Amino acid sequence: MNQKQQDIITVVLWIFCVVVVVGSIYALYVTFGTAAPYHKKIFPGLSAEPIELMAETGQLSESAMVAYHYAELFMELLDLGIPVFAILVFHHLLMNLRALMQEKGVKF
Amino acid sequence: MSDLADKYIERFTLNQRLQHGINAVACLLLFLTGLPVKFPDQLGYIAIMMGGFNVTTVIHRMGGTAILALALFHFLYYVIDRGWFKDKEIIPTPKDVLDAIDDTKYIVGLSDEKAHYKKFSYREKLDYWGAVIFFPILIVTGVLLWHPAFAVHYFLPADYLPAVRLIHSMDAILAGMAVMLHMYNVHLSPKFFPVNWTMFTGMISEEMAEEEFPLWYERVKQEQLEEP
Repeated sequence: MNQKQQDIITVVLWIFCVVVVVGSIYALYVTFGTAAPYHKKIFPGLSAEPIELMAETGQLSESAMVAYHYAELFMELLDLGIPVFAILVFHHLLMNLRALMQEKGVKF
Repeated sequence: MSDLADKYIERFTLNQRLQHGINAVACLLLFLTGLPVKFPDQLGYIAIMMGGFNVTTVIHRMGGTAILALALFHFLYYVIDRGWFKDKEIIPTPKDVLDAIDDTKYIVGLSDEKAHYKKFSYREKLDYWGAVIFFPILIVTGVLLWHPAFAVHYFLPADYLPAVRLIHSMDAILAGMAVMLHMYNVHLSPKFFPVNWTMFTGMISEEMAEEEFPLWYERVKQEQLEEP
């Protein structure tokens, strides 16, 4: 495949992806109506109270509470990523420092 | 400055730079409009400055649409082009672990040389695969929250949505951390500060390529020699 053919495929693929996504979103609007105004934390079939409060005050079903707690646990585990990121930045920073020391001829 | 500082080689194609640009702008908009929803008391002023929550939620959905189209394109493109499998540049390998160990030895003075990277170091691979893991979670939960009636109709009971919302927002915060790590690696690191132009121009100086990605640089030079 030459460069021109590759470029054409790329453009066609972009158009296809945008059409698919926008079309799907439009279909969702047509089928299910206006999107949720989730800045107010309202969901269909639920009260207008903040969802954290609903979880705390036992307004969710037992299985939904389990799902909520599993989600919390899962995210707690993922939060381990934050110290990992901090370590990686520190690691990179120390590498830069070492390179600078080497450049200046500082003995380690 | 050596002669190599004035010579440039291509590191990213226009296609890759466009994808990265769309991703960067969309992510910025998503963080800017998503964080005030998560922390309305502390960051609500951002939404007010942008015209209120009615405006920011529309912008958030536009950003989400861009990310969704980009993810679809990225996936299809690399399946068609076989980019992930053909050159294996971005696939994590055991060498990445060894490189990280070598770099640590370099930091503590046990070695005078840092690891020799191929086209992408373990840091870049971590950035990339972090996005590949985080984005599908964000996309799926985002679509479910966008259209809860659709979610409830097909996928889950209504009162599971709080769990979905928690996953979406916390995953986004974690993704924000990954973006900060990426910003340090590519721009704020003393070597590149204040800005690294490679992702904007697609070119890297041969001097930088030789220093940062020596194995890739050697391969590129070899390929250039072999070209008729």
